[in-house]
Amino acid sequence: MPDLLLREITKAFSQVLAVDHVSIHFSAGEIHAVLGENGAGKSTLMHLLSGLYQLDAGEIWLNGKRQVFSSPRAANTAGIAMVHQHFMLVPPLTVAENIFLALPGNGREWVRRSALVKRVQALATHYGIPVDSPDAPVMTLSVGAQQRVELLKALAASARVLILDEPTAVLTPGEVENLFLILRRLKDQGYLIIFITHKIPEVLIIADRFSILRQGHLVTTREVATCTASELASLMVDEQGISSSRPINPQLSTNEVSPQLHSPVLSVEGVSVQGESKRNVLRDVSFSVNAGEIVGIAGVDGNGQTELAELLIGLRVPVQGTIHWQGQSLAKPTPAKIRASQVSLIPQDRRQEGLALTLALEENLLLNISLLSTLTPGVLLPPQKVRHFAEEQIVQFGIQTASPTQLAAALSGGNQQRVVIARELAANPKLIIAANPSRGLDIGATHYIHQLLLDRCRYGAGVVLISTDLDEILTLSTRVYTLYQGQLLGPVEPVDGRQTIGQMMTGARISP
Amino acid sequence: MTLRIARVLPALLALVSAFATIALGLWICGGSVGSTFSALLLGAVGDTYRITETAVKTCPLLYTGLAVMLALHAGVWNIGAEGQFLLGALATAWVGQYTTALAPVIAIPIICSAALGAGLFWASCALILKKKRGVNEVISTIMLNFIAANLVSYCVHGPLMETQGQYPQTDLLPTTARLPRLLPPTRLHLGVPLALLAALAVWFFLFRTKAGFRLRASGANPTAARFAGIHVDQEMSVAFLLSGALAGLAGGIEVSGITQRVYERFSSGYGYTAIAVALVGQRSPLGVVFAAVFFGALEAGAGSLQREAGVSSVLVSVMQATMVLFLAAYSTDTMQRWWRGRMKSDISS
Amino acid sequence: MDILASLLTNSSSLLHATLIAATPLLLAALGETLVERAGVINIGLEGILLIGAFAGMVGSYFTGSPFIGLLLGAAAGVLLALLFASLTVGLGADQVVVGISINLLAAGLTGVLYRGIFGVTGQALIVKTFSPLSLPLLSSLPFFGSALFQHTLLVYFALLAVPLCGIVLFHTRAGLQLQAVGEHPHAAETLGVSVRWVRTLTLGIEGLLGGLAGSYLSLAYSNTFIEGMSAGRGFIALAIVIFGRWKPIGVLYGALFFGAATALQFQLQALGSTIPYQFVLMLPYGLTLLALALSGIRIMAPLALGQPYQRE
Repeated sequence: MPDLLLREITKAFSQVLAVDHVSIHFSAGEIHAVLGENGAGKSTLMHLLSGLYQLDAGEIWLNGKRQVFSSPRAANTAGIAMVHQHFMLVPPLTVAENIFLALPGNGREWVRRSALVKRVQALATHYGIPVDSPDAPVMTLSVGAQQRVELLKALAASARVLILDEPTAVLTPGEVENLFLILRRLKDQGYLIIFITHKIPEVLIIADRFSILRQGHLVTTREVATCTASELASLMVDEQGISSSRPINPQLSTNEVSPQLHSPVLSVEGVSVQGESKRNVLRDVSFSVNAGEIVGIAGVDGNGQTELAELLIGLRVPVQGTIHWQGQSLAKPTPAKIRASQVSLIPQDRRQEGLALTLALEENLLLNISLLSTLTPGVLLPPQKVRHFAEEQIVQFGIQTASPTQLAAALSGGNQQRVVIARELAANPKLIIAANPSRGLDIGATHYIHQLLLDRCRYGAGVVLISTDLDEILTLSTRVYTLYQGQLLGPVEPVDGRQTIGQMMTGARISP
Repeated sequence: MTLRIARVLPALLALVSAFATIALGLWICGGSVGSTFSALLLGAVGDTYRITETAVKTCPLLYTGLAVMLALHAGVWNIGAEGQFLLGALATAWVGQYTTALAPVIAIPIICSAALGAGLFWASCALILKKKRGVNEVISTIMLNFIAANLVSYCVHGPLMETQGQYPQTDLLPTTARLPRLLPPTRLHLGVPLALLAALAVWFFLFRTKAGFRLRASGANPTAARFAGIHVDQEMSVAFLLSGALAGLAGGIEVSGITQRVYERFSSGYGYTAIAVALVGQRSPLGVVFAAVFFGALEAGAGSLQREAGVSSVLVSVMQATMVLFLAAYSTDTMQRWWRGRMKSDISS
Repeated sequence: MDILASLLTNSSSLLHATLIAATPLLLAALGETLVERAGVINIGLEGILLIGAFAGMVGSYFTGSPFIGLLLGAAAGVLLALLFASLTVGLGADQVVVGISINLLAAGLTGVLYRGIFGVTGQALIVKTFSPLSLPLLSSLPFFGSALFQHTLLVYFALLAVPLCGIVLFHTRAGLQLQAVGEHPHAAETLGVSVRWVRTLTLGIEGLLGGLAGSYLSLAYSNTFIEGMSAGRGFIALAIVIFGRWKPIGVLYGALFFGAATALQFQLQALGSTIPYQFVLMLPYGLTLLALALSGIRIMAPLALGQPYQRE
């Protein structure tokens, strides 16, 4: 019967407190949900529990004994197992072989396959976790089946505490039901199940108690029975606007933005996109953006935002539906063709998708095919033009750098983002797709970027703002949609819309 | 420390480490460190003739080094420079036969084009195998290198054999197709300054044209390049073909400028040394020039090693390999982090 | 038709020649299979073969015993492989760069040492080699007796190594752990397997097998050392690994195939065929390309192959 106590757990990463003196007392035989937005600290806390990270301060007590986990293996030995969002299974090996690897034993041990299969089936029956084909390679199984293998693996290795990280993120509704059946059965057998999620409906269905984290500290721990969906939502997404540490700039106003209706710069109609394993990562998404308006797309990371951005810039093809960029639909959309229609993208991951870190700043300012052709028609790349353009942008966008020849890798995050934005805006786009444009930036940089976007709008551009930062969405948007599990909910007016949008983000509300 | 020095440092350190290791090895084996290194030095730059020999040895290394460097900028490995070099030489020997009636001003560009085309063709074989059948280009280019060597052997024993039929070699290239000697009686030929021009051309292409920029972006970060609208796969293919053409040209120039005929074992591993040159040159055309000169000097000096120091001339390949190994080690993130941890970085952020 | 007829009558000796030619390829390819299953590509295999050939010859020359030569060859192979490991696994250096440099290093070193120790002569130095070991009873069998059971020690070893590798790889926990390292290194680490240790160990084993393969070249296949005598076998072994789908049994078939091609090549020459000998020499390399091309595009390589692993 596991009894797990966390006392004043603290962990910092380069001076930012990811987990701030969190204390929770878990007990055996419960399903305990840990809720929070992106960056609230839930994953970090669980990584501390499962031995991947080490505590800076605080204690972990398991069954009355103080524990120190120096590695995941140590945590496993103590009986704590984590089922990650991205499975730790070896794809070409079979179910039985994967489970075998999790069992204790030395290298010489023979793999007795038929005995192993029987053992796996016995385990499956014992725990009530159905495994159809223990002999099948794991990669041929459905995502739900793979998750069951992960669970079985953990249990076979004698875990008594199971930590599940966003387990329903990759499941179909049917698979979710199956999972919950299994979890209830395990709970009855006395296991402790910790369930990380941002989806409120699930918490209401499956959990006994919940804990909410916000910016690294614990907001509250309560019984689920004592709470309604909207209470939960407002606890997670604070109403008073202190869910983020950055106050909204009162000087920024959207009053100056005047959308020109009936001149859409982007029109998305009934679009569905398939991800791996044939699941629809975007389902029947429809919205349009007019010149002069900012359409905000809110949501917790992992609900289709990445795919939406890739779709809009031409790196993904929909299985259904059409997209019109400036009134043009393209037969075979490529980023080059779309950018030629005056579309720019500020990608969500500047280091991977927005910059070539080994190239110079001034070269990164040219990493946009349509900008290249407008700036320098012809074959050549005259260095004076490049330098002059770079110097212009450095001044205009306040990029702090020793020189335009400095490598992008040497710039700070904020300055790197300024380079990306300078470049994308310099192409004079009519449509700007901005994905988490102020991620990882300080207040000053954030306000600056927000003002830039508003200015562009005033001059007739349309913006799609995909962001996991609700404050940013509310500050800038003319209208707000919410992505939840690939579906687009809304639109909602940003004024007084915080609660509604918060509920949509967490699934507490499916329609406006 | 400035950016320039930071970039050159790993190569310089590698050079010093390699020399130190070789010196240690020599000392352990009872060889004379002093006479070895002085033999190399004198052999490379001891007198005017020796200096021109260094230049002559540098020439093919510079072309092929540029070829490998070009491909690397696009993020592709061209291990097939050796085979492309041989095909270029063969093409030159073959086409050259027919240029007897032409003036050198016409004959030389013709054979150079043949060499370029042959190199491009040989590279395209590997490229097609990759695109159509997913064949790993590192293995396919190496196989093509061996096939090319056997092809040369076949040609010089057969269809391209000299008219006298005595030795396995082609006829001498007609005088019109030979690159003029610049400083008789040395072997310094027009191909050497042309190599410098080639380095300039490659530099210009990579750093002053949009096509070159797209190529470098594809190699620097293919994901970001795709987001930017660049057709990354296309850029990589083009780079690979250009690289092959340049390596082919190297072979043609070597025939036209120095050997004037093709024979068995025509290449002494230029294509593989080229990889070392490109890496030591830290992927900048100027760096490749310096690296090629350095390696060329080593090759030129190698001849004196046996005579003056009693050490086999092959020691030079050991030096080259050791240098690249040290460079590979010093360029890793692990080493960079260790180095940066010991130094306070003054790059502003 | 004549050629075909004489091939048939010579088929027993053809089979014999096939095994002889296949052995070095088989040993090298088995080593590389293990290494690639762990997620590393070692292009330096060619260099390992060469240095094994040289060390083997030196050992036999100075002691008169091919067994000492074999040991020396294996040791040299292991050392070179560990050099590769220290740079690629230890420091995370580029596997292609280090592999090619290892080849150049081996070529240069063997050249320098050969000429240094033996001087520059035109004649090849003959060394004591392994004599064929006829297995009792089995070698008297008709047809198969002379083809399969009158071989040198290493041939038997290579053939035995195939089921040994297969058993370890697919039927022991260690083998499954090795596979995990090459397919999903992060998962392997969570299972308590050290990626670095596994990769270093397999590289050491490859060094051993490659060194043995090289020594075979100078101590059984021929009786001397010639510079560059590995002649691309290391690269062909790399292709055989792909062709054999990273399975020991597949590698065996691949090695036999190439061995047969080599044996045929000599038979054809002996029978006075009119094909120029250079094209016959090209055969292994062209076949490699053909084999790779026919292997299909969607081959199941180990998922993490070639990617250096960084512990977080």
